[in-house]
Amino acid sequence: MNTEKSVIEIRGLTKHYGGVKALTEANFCLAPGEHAAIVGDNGAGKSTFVRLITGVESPNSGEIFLDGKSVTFDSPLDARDQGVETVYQTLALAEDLDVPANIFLGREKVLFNLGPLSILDHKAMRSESVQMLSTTGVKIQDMSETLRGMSGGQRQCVAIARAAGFAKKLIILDEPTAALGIQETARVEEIIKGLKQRGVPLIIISHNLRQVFDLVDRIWVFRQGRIVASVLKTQTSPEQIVGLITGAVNPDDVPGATDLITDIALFQ
Amino acid sequence: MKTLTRQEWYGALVAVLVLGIFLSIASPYFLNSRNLSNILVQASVIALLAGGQTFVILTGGVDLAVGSLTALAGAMAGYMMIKLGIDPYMAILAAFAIGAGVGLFNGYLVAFVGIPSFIVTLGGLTLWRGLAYDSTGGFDMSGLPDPFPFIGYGELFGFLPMPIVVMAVFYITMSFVLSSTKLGRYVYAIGSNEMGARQVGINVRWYKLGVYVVSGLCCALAALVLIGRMDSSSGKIAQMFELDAIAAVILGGTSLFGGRGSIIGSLLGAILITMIRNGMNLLEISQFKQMMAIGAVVIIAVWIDVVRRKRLLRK
Repeated sequence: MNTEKSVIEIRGLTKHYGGVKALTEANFCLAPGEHAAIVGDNGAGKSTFVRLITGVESPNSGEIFLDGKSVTFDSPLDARDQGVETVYQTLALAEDLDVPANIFLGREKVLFNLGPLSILDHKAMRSESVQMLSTTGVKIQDMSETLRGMSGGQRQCVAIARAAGFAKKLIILDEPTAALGIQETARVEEIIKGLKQRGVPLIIISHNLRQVFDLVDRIWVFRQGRIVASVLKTQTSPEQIVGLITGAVNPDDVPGATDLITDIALFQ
Repeated sequence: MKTLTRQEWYGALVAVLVLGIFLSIASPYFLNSRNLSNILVQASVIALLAGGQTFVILTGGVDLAVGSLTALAGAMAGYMMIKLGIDPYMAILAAFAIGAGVGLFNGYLVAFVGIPSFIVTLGGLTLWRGLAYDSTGGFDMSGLPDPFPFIGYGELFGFLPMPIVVMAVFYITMSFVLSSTKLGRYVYAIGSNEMGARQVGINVRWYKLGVYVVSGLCCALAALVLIGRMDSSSGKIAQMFELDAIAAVILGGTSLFGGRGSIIGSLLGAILITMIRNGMNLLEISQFKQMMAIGAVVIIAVWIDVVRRKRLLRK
C-alpha cells in the first residue's frame, strides 16, 4: 500500500503523558472505501489514537496524511473542516431541537449573514436533511419532532447521517452501539453497511467482535499503547483477534499481521 | 408543526382563559375593555423583563438581578434628565448602555470565569440596587421630559397604549430572533446539551455572554417604559420584579433546566401573573395574601416543570 492511495495514513504517532506512554509509534492507513475497526483492551491506546486523529489532542510526534497531504489538526473543528467527521459516544446532539436543526447544528445555512443574528434558511436545511437521511437510509417519521422523543438508535442514526452527509474524507464512529439494544444495534449496523456500499471510508471503534467481523474489511489491534497487528477480516478469526488483544497470540506468528505496520514505517 | 396542545405554552394559555372566565364571573369589573387594557399595560414591564429572562433561562441560567438593573437604568436615566439636564434621548442611550454593560459583566463572570449565574446575579441583585440609590443620592425624580409621557401614557392611533405597542413589537422581534436566527438556535442548543454544542463548534462562551447582554438590554427597555408610566424615577423602582419575571417565564412553560420553552409562553406568563394580581385586587384580597399567593404559584409552576422533566427523561 502506498501513501497516495490512502484516505488517511498515520506514521509514528506518539503521545506520552509524562511517564505514561499512551501511544507509541502508531502506524495506520485506510484505503479508499475501506471500513476498518480499531480493537483493543481498555487502556490499549484506542481512545488516545482517536483523540489524536480527531484533533482533540496533539501528538508529541508523528504525522497524519489525508489523501497523501501532511496535515495537523488544531481542534476537533479543524479536523472536521479538513474532512474527518467524528460521531462521539455522547453524540453531540441537542435533544430539544428537531432533526434538521441537529443535522446542521453549528453549520447552519443562512439567508443573510448577520453574525449571531444571521437569519436561518429553514427550508434549505430541511430539504437537505431529508436528502441526507435518505441517502444514509435513515427513516425519520416526523422531521419536526425533537430528538427527546426518539430512541437511542434513532439518535445514533441521525448523528451518523449528519457525519456521512458532511464528511469529505472519512467518518470515525466511537462505540456507536455501546448503549443500544439488539434491534437498535441491527438498525445502526444496516446504516453502516450502507456507507460501505456507497464507498464512504470509515473507522469504527468497537468492543463487539461479532459486529467488527460483520462490518469491516480490516482490523487494527491495539495493545499496551502500540498498534501490534493489522489483519484482513477474511484472513483471521475472532479467536485469533482475542489472542492478539490479550497477548496470547504473538503478532509475528500471524502471517501478514505486521506487514502494514512496519511497511509504512519504512517510509519514514 | 407541533399541535397546539403539545406547545410548551399551552398550559399558560389554558390558565389565562380559565382564570379569565373565573374572574369575569367573580367580579363585575374584570371583563371591561378598560380593565383588560390595564392588565396588558401593567403586564408590559414584567413582559419585557421576562423576554430577556427567557433567553437566559433557555441556556440553563437565571438572571436574578433584572429588578435591580431596571432600577439602576431607570434611576440613572431619570437622574441625568432631571438633575443633570441631559437630553432625554442621550439618557435613553445611557440606559441601554448601562443595561448592556451590566449584561456584559454578568455574562463574562458566568461564561468566561465560570461562576454560576445564580451567584453572579444574586450578588448583582443588591449590588445594582445599591448603586441605583447611591449614584442618584436616593432622590425621587419626577416630571420627566418628552418623550417619556408619550412612552408611558401615549396612545398609538388614539387607542393603543404605547406600553402595549412596545410590548407587542418587542415580542414579535424576540420571537423571530429565537426561532429564526443563529442566536436563537444556539440558545436552545446550549440549554439542551452544552458540551455537545461545544463539540459541533458553537462558540458557547460568547453566546452565553450574549444572553446576559440581551437580558440587560431588556431591563433598560423595561426601565424606560416603567419610569414613563410612573412619570418619575428613583432607586426604589422595580422592587422584586425579578420574581415576577422569572415566574412569568416558568409559568409560560419554559424549563428552568434550559433547552425547552418559548417566548410566547413568557408573554402569556406575564399576563397570567398580572391577571392574578389584578383579580386579587378586584376581589379585595389583601397585599399580604397576594404575596403568599404569587409565591405559591411560582413554586407550583416549578413543581410542574420538574415533574414534566422527569417524565420526559423516563421516555
